[in-house]
Amino acid sequence: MQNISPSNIFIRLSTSVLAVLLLLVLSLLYGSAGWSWELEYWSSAIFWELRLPRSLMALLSGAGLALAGYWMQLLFKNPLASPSVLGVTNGASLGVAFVTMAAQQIWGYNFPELTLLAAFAGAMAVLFLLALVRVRLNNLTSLLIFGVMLGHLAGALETIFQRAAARNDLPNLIYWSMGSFSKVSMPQVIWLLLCLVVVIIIVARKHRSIDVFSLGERIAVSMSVSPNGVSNVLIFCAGLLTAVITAFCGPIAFIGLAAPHLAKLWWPYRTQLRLIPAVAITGMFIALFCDVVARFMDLPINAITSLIGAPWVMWWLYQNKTQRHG
Amino acid sequence: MDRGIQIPAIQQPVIEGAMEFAGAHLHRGESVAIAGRNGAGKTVLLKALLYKMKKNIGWVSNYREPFLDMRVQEVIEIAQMNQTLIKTEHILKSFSLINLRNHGVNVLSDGEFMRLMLARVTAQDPEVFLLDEPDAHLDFYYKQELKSIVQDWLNNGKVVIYSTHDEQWVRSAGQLWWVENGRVNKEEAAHFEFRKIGNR
Repeated sequence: MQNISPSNIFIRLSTSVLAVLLLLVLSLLYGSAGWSWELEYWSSAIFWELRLPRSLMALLSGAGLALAGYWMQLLFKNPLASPSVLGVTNGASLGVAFVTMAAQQIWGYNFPELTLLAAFAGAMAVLFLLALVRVRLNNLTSLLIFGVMLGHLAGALETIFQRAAARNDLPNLIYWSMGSFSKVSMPQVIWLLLCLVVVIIIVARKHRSIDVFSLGERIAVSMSVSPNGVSNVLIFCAGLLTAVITAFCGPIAFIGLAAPHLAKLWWPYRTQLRLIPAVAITGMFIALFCDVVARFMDLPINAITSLIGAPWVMWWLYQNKTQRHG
Repeated sequence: MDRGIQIPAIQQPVIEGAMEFAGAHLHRGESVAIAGRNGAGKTVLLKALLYKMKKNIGWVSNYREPFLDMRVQEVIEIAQMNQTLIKTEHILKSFSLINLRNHGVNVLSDGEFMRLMLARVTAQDPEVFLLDEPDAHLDFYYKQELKSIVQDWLNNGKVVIYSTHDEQWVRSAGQLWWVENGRVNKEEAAHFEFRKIGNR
């Protein structure tokens, strides 16, 4: 049994918020130009146009991916679900492959500057397709398999594009798929913030229905909650966040899968309104931490998230095994 | 005034099992036992009623949602329309769940889980209860407790419909709906002769 006295909860919450703030400051101070804390740094272009957008993007994407992963796990009642299970990420990837490689074959010219737009269009196309088949696919397991198959289909097309592409065009896609918080601008940060706010408002308005839904489909029906309605809300919210973040930063692995589990290890509450902050904070922490390490070591973010994250989760689970199922 | 509760008719082709039921009118405080041999369609009937009635219903079955990740106290809180700490505490105490309140639902035993589900529908406070073999998994003591819980609901003017394999539970019901091959026959609970059914 976890100790959940009010003072204990307050300490946990304030410690985690403090840890995120500390990492945020650290990530603002360090970058490829080295450490900077002089007075003129805070008004320089490095701060305003490079480090601030990058740090804020890591912060918000971490929260967004963690929430998207949490809602997918809740929807499919599957602890291995992640933001990418619906094929949204693969859709984005296919979009990027199209404008950076396939366009050459069709129009004789590539449009790497359209990467962001193509990724977003690809992700939204998958989401739209899912919404279309959703009318007939009442069964969540079927929907899950449909999403995974869509992902495979997009992956296959992507491979064909790669095979047909000119050698010089390949790096565009490869670098994009490594993920990065560094190629973002302030307006993109604001767009993501807007999406997050909209999604959180939607979920907050439906929080009780989602809680009831998590008790099981029949219990939901018995409490006048429509299981289909709740699933549509969760698919829309998780899908939108994944689409926007993948368009801006590329496919960021691992955070969406691990953050919900890690949040549940240090936070006792499980209802929507009380768990969402913990999941978001955990996502922010992982994303910022991995981004700071990625800067220090000059490695792509996706390598860091999995390299640090996977052993960390394994260790935590191993340590807490008896507590969670005892 | 006792306006009673209308239980809808079911005409279900083979979706999750064929079911034919003419519907019924139940008085407040009346209980119904659904009985029948294994596979006759007791659960199918209860499920069909649940989806057809589309309103606030106390649904209890021994199905456990996989990966249900919630604390005992939270389940009770979610079930209440206007939740108050006092009411939550009261229900947790009366179902002997107070010491388990901060435990995850996934660590409960089957019997404890059944008690939690009964506590949940008590917190929900609906007009109609549909219970699918509520006495399964309960120990001797809580089987007796369950009787008084159901009696409390009936005394408060609720309608309770439960499926059971227990002869005593059938006898104490106001009506018996005997299910056979997807058809429901209304029988007299007190004098129904199980021996006549035999081995068919």
